[in-house]
Amino acid sequence: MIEFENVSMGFDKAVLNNITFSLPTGSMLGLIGQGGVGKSVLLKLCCGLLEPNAGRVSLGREALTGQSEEHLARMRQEIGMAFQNTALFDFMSVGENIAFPLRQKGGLSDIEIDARVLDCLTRVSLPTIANLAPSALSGGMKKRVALARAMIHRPPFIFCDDPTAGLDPVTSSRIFRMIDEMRTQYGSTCVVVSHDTGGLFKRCDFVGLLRDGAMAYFGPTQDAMSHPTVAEFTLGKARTQ
Amino acid sequence: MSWGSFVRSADEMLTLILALVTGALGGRFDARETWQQLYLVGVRSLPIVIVTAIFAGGISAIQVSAHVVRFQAYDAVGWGFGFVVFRELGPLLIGLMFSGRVGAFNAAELGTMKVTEQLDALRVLAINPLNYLVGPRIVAMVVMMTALVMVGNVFALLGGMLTAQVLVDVDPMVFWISLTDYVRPVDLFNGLVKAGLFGFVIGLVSCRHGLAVDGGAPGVGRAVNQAVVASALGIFCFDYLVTAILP
Repeated sequence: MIEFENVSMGFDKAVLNNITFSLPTGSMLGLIGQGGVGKSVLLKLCCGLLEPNAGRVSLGREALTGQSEEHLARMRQEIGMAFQNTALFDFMSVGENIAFPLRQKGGLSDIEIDARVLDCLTRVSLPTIANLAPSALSGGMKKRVALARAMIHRPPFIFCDDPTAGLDPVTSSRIFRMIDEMRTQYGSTCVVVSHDTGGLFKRCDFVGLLRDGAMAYFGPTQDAMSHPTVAEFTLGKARTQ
Repeated sequence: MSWGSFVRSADEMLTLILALVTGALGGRFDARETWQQLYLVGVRSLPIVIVTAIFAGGISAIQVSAHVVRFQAYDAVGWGFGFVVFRELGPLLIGLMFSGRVGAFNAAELGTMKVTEQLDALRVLAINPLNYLVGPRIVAMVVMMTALVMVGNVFALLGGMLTAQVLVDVDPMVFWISLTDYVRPVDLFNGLVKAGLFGFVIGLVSCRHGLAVDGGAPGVGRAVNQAVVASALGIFCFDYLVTAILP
């Protein structure tokens, strides 16, 4: 379960204001909203990369808020995150990037790790690129590799920041399917930010719409389209900020 | 630089030192990354250090030679050369070269990692960037700067001997005897202490500026520029302090 209780966050000005929601274990939340509304900030709050100005964020039964960096590091072993601009490590090959979470965690032999890397690369339909440098990949390939790295340690919590940005519909659809498969197989709780509402709504159980720093809608996907604010947004009629 | 930003910068530097000392005492620095950095920082810098050292040795010999001819003090060439190169010119010139090559690269690499969220990605993978990236780099710079100055001293000696022989016809054996008779081990030690300190300063300053990058590619450029300038200033300040304190 992921819980936000009255969470507010701002830098020079307020970004998120009094956000409250609870996402059940094993479900997927599709987070939508206009650019700059605070979706990435919300994901970073979920990972403990940012500390809220007010309120409380919890993963499972444990609060992320107010923990020491050592404690957060332990909690983050249960997290997989695919960043908006992939954040692949330039100084490692694709294979090393994907294997990195497992090597740091320990407990597996090199042979087991190599097998898991190959399995992950096969899942993302890129089985032959383990020795390439990230700089040699296209945008779509990088996104899929970032996803593979986020999922290789089968984390209970997966966060994806715009994994389909700038991708063709075929690759976008493949990425949503992959996230859904991993969630089903490992029972992970996922939060996915995307502007591809069509693809996202097919896969997610819940929809969250951020507007003006507040959660304008949070509820089951099947009810989302009948909600005027969500319908307005998905049809491109949302008022500009 | 305003007083406010100077104080903030000093505060960040002290916080960084404290975190690194804690990491080092806890044995948390990544061993594999440390070995890799030792190679990248040290072995890859060898050619440029050797060239710098040969020229530094040659220049010192040229400067000393003018006075040698004037006073007919041929047996003082080795001493003059050793004193200047081992204590001062070697660590200083190699330090500045090292700052330009390794420090600038380091600030650019860490800065790029910051703006492309690679540092955040490390943190999400439960890895402390200070222990994984910064600590190994600073250790490598201290160790390799000291080692490079030792290697540089040998090549500076060769450059100095050759120049002295060609310019003022000082026999290499006379040069060597003058060097070993008058230059004390403490002169060599003095230079090596400076080298280690310069390595620490370059490492700390370049890492701090790299980690503090803000504002995309222009921010990375600014950080590299600031890192090189601040490292050079740090080198001169510590050079002054060590020269004043050590015998």
